[in-house]
Amino acid sequence: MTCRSSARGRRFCALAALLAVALAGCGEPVVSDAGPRAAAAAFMQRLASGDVRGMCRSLSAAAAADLARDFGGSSCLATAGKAARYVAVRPGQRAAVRGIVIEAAHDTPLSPAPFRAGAQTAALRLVVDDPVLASRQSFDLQLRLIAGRWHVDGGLNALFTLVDP
Amino acid sequence: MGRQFSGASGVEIAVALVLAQVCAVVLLGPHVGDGGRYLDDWWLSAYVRFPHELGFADGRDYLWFYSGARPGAVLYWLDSYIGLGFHDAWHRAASVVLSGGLASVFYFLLRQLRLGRVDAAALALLTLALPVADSVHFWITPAVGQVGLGACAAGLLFGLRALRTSGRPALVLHGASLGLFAVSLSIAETTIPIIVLSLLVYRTATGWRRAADRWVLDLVLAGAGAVHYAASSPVRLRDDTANVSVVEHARTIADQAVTLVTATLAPSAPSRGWVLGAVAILAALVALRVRALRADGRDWSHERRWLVAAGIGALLAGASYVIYVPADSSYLPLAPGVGNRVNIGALLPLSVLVYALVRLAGGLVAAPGPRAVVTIALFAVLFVSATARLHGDRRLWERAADEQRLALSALHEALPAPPRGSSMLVFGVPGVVTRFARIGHADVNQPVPVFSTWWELDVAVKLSYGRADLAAYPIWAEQPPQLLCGAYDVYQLGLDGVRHALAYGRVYAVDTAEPRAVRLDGQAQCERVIGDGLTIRYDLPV
Repeated sequence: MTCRSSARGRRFCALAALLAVALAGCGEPVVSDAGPRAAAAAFMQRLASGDVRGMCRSLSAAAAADLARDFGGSSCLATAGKAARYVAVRPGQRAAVRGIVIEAAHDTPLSPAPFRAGAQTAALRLVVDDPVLASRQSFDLQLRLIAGRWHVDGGLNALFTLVDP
Repeated sequence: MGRQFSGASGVEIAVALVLAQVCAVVLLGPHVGDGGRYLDDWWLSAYVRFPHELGFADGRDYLWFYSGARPGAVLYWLDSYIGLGFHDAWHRAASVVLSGGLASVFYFLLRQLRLGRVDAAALALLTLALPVADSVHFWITPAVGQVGLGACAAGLLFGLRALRTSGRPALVLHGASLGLFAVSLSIAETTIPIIVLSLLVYRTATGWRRAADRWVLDLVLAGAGAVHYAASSPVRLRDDTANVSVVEHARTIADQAVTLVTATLAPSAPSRGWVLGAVAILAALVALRVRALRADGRDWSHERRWLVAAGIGALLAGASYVIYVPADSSYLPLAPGVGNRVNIGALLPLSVLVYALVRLAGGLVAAPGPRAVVTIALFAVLFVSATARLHGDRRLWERAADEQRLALSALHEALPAPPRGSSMLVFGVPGVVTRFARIGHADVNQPVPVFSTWWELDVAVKLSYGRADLAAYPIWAEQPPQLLCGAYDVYQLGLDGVRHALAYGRVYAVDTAEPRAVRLDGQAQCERVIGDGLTIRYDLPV
């Protein structure tokens, strides 16, 4: 039996080809995480440039509270201002923040879950050249969709290595 | 198809199925109660248990992310968690059943290849006893590879049956065979080389033309599988040619594959040269015997059969590693512990190769009675040495499980009801248990994971407490610094480069040796506690 020898042969070959195509098509769907990535990149840019109001527009209340744990401040503006001043004043911090790399959606088993269409939350892995530890390290940033815009929602404290109060 | 299938009667089929399971239980059953979860087992369990909390829609969503390139495996894992829940002992029991199932399918395939019951049974038994890929027996997640291998073997069986039949029944059998190949390919890429070389198997049943007609369809399937896996395999599994070239990797694989074979034949040999020398002498003696038999016009079918079997076994075993050549350089035949799963594609053909050598060696004895005694003795030595190593490997995996249970038990005792959102810095838990062993001429450090990365301990704690809000990080001695006491946070510096900022007041230093948990409330206390924190090195020799 060959593919051309008979109708059955042709059906068999068609079936095999169909199976092959079906198998070749398996894999995970790709959804763009451009929204969260752009929001994370924009936040880091504002942090580096000292755009305090912009930072607060990009921070959820939870993230602002977490940041206040490290920098103090009774309001988001006060907290963001202290964080921005820290970045501006400490050696190497501004370059570190500007040079942050946002990794592509990873496929290691416990990297942040890839973005899902219609999801309200997202997580990204960021890589920073830490000037305090003089080493390249990663941390996970959580984002949340609030009123149609992506906000940083958690994980920001791991960006800073605050050893001296 | 009558009352026989694959050359076996219904009674023989039933007996083979039962005996295969009995042998699997005897050889692997103790691991059901004494084993644990390892690496991916923890991740899959936790993410299927807490998908929403960990960023996924549901368990199927996570499994698709984890290994969507293998839809058959995803379906198996999903069904196994639905059917068996999170009782890890049940999953290990399922693995034992799969091992017995694979052995029985292999038996039926060998009977279809016209091997006698004793030879087929001995070969099937070897697949259970050989430790070359025993991680798929002891490790829950990769156990699905046995389903893939079994489906491939069944595909060959149905293909052979189809080639010995005609008309509509043949078409049905061909369809079933191709379907089984598709199932095996949907589970993993490891059977691609076997399917590509299926012609060698079909040729034992029919002429070149019919075998080739069927083989074309196999090539289409295998080709589609190869394209699919080449395009969709996770980045972490692809080549790292920046570090190791493809040629270098291929050379290392070939070299280690030879050592694997010699270690299987004679694990106690001081070097593989001895074993290779013995095989060369055996080959010479067999050649002389064949020449003498042919010169006398006597039957040499025994020698021919086992020479062909050895050749096919060697070819298929070698071919099974082709898929790893372009992949990560850590995929090597002598990779110990969890790493020897790469040998699963070689398990069946390697069994055939070593058994064929035993039969050829026994066949050098002319008289039938002594020949049987010598053959049985050689097989017994092979089987006993294999099961001894299998037992040793199993005990290592179970020791790792013991350490896991000790660690989790200590955590619960030290911190029975951690507040919401707590993090634990865990001291005194090894990353791996290790043992030095010989594989051939090489002394190999064999590590089996306890909690070898922070990921494992983290999800293990989530599972153990039944709470996704908890986090845990193991701290090891003799490693780069993993903790930094900041002004407002403790920074956990993962050895994988991923760090976390843990707020004072919600992070605990847990000493599992005591067991005792101390909440860290400030920088000074943090430095004092962590400075005093005696911990254990990453690898625990056992």
